[in-house]
Amino acid sequence: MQLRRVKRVTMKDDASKPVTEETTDQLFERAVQQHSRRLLAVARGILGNRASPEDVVQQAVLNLYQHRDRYDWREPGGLLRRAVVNEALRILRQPRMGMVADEMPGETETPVAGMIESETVQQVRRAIEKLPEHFRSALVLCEYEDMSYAQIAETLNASVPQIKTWIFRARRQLEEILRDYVTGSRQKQR
Amino acid sequence: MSDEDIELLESYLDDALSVAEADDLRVRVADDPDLAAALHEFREQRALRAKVWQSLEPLDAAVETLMKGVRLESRKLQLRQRAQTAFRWAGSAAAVLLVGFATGWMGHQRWSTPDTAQRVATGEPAPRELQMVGKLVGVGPNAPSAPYHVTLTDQMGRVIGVQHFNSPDRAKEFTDDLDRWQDRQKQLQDGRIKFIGDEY
Repeated sequence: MQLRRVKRVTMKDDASKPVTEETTDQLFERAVQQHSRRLLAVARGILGNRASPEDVVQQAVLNLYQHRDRYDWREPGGLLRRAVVNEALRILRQPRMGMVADEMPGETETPVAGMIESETVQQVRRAIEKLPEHFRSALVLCEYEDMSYAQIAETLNASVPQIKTWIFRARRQLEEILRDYVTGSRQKQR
Repeated sequence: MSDEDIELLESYLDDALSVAEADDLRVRVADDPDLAAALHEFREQRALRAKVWQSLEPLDAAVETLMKGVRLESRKLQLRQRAQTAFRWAGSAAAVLLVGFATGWMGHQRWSTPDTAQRVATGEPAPRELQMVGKLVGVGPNAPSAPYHVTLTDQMGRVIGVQHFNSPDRAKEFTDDLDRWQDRQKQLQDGRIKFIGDEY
């Protein structure tokens, strides 16, 4: 990841008045606003019900804010995502303090709740939460964020072959878990 | 089906194969029903997982709560950083002033001339500094029995001896004798005179 310093003072094309340091803060806030929805989803995908995704995302962006002048806030997607993933993994590696509610407040009030929140989807979600954290993280970044293996490797500080292995094994494990679920459902129906 | 084929199909769906590799796989899938069935199953599994990913996305209210928290905490951080910067500047300025004062004070102590400190209280003329032996003689009032004294100091201003007298005339006579003696010493060192026997 290349870090580009945002110029503190720039000249606008149509004005002689220089832009003050507040521009960095404005760019920062705009960046967080634009990416917050996906960041919260990534955090939730990695954390499951181990911790609050809002707390994790807030902490991650504030860690970046402390050194905000180092980064280019005009293209912050990769930076924010990496910060959130690292913070989520850090939380997961702490001793288990407790679980947050499995069903987050307002979760069933999404516009597509009627279509999506079927029992099958819930089962798949629970199966994903059972995956080891690095398997789960790689899978979320691959399928939800649509990142390449190389990008995922950089975000998770791993090699590309490792990432391919993690994603492969994550999918196989999900297949096993869900096959057992499907088999069990069919037996119940009989 | 082999793990290699499974990985190939998944990589194909991840768009991670080269153009040539993807073309080869499509040919194989077209010719192999098992491969085609597996590809279809993997696509269905992905579609199901895509619904799970969609369900993870938060409500607008959750996003707004996050933004409020970020704005509040970033503002606090900003104020804290500004306060730390101000304290740092104030500390640096205080340190510079302290160093400057200490340097000036030590310089004053080191370089101040002893004759100023030892000026004759009785009005006697300021003593003469003797470069040769580095002695500086001064006269001032002292104890009641011998109220007048001559202080002998070296070039650094350190007191090396004190001679007491009961009158200013005797003190002046002593300092004159001392001056003459130092002059002789200087002439001897310069080679202008020689000591032969008991005389110069």
